[in-house]
Amino acid sequence: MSKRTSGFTLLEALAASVIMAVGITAAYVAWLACYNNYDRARQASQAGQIARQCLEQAKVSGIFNLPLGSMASNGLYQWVGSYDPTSQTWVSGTSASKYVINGYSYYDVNGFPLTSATSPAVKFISVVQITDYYPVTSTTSAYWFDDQSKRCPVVFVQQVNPTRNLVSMGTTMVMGGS
Amino acid sequence: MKMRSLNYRHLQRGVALPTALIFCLVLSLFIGGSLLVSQTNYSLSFQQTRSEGAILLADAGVNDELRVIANGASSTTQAGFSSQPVDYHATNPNSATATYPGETHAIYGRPSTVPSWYKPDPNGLYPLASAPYYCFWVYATNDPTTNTPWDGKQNPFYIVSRAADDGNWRKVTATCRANSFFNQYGLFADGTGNAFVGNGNAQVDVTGLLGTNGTNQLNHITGTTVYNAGGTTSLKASNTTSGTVLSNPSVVVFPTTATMLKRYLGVLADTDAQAYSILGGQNALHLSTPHVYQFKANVNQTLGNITSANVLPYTFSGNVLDSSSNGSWKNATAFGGKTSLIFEPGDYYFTQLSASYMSGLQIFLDPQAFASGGTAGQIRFWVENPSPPANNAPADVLGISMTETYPAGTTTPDPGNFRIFYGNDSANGSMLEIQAPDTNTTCLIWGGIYAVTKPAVAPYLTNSALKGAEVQFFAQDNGNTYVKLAGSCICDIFSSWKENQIGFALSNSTVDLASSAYVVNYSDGG
Repeated sequence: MSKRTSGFTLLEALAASVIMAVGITAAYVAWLACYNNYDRARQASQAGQIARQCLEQAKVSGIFNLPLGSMASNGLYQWVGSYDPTSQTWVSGTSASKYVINGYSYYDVNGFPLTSATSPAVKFISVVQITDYYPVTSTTSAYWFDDQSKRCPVVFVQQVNPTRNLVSMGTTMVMGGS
Repeated sequence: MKMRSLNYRHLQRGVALPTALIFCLVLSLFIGGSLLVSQTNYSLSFQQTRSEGAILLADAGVNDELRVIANGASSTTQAGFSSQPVDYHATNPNSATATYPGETHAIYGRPSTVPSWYKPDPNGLYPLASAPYYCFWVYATNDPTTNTPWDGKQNPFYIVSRAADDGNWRKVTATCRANSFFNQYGLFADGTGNAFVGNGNAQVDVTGLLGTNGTNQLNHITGTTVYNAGGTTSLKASNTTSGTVLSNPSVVVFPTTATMLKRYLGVLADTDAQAYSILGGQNALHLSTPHVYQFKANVNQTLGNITSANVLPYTFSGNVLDSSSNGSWKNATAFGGKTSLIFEPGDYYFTQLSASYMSGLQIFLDPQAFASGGTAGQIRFWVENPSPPANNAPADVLGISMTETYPAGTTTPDPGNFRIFYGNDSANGSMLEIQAPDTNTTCLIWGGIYAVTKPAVAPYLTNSALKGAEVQFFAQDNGNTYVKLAGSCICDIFSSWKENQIGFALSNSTVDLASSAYVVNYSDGG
């Protein structure tokens, strides 16, 4: 290159700066999109884990050990609440529980249960609804089950800030089922 | 000068611009790649979650089918007691349809309806995604590789369930075993209408579940779980201190004895008479030779002596088990004051049981097939008179001492090895009466008794010509010579003369028909 052509002209420097600025801005926007994707993917995965864990716990509890509900307006027996891992019980309503508040479970961004519904760390809320079909009544409990009854637990996991329904997962349980 | 200046600028190109462009190009490639990866990762995360949801939904399909099987146990059609491996959408246009990945036809099996799976959220209710995006398809089959419909008899059988959760598919195949009709109740008597479980003065000690659709008049029910079906209050018994009382608003419906036979024979489309006729034809194989045996001469006629070396085939005459004037035993070898008939595994069809207690006559039930040296199996007595007389009371009596073989290493017979199926309705007085012997001993039967002609469902329930099949236990006196059934009794009407006992005993039979089923193995097939 000749001596005359070495170095930047003002125009060249300006053009390069504009291109760099646009490129870096685009990179930042893209990085934000990547991060959002990553974050949403992680949350979806985390919410799925929470839902799966909850349903697996329902299966471990078994048809006869899941809590019994009450007659709902649709004529079905329903129970709404959550599982408390410390007391290893299913808790509904305002019953005292460490990790279940008013029937809901609250989790941080890593899926760890929280003891407060108002904590700024709350990232997920989950709740379980169990609907019972064809139960039989009993003199020793609210109602009971035979081989024609079925229990359908469904888990809902919601993200907070912003509020978004992430996962709904359900199954059916019967006597002798898997 | 001006021209020179322009030419000079034109020649004055540096590296900044191409460097910036190259930098932007590399950056855009890098960012583009990262975006692609993150987007893929995002998509995969949701797919993974939905895939987990799909397998739980497929699992729900298996369990839902178990309920269908339990609910349809009384059905007279194959499609009634399980879901079929066919394209349901072809005959049910409103049902969900979809194609499973890799298959070229609509998914076989019953699609799910999952009502009321709603989100109980303070913000409002919303349903889960609807079919076919959130749905399972399920059927029962004899063979998951050929999709042959389950015949209601094969045990074990398979339930195949495919499910979709928003486009993510999973398939599971569960290996299931049948729950016997005889493995649920100590005693179930339909008891609807004017029929009762037990006559007013009867005392019966029942252990296990005591169930009825009607009214229970049995006395002496202590600590037993009572199952009241049909939505009626049905305890009228005295001396009753029951344990738990379960009440089901729905009636429990058992198949008729004839339907049971048709399912055994695989002739569900036949009439009852045709099915009994087929069974009668099988007597040539069973009641004659070589399924009935007698002891050889000079052999003590005891359970322990039932070996192939000690017995001979016996030719049974007619279709009536008759003890009068030694009747059916007449040509059998007698020794030590005893004359015995030995029944090997199989189906025996009797048009009548006329076997009141006779001293010296014995029945040996040999489900272990010690006499023939053959294969152990279940002994089934089928009792039905195709032309019962107008006054047929009590029609069928079984009071002969019965003893049953059991396998080495055990001390009691398996109650799953002996069944009495009774098909006569009591409208003309017919009744299956199990009599205690006229000695100071107990009549102990290990097995199951099944007598249903009028289940609590149309058209049987509304058929005024039917009254239901009745089983009666007849004790000679209270506390000494009574009938004790170790197993299960299912009938329309149960009555007891004096004090008898029913003790529920679990059956290990794998050949009983399914009243329900349970999962024994489970494979996630995709």
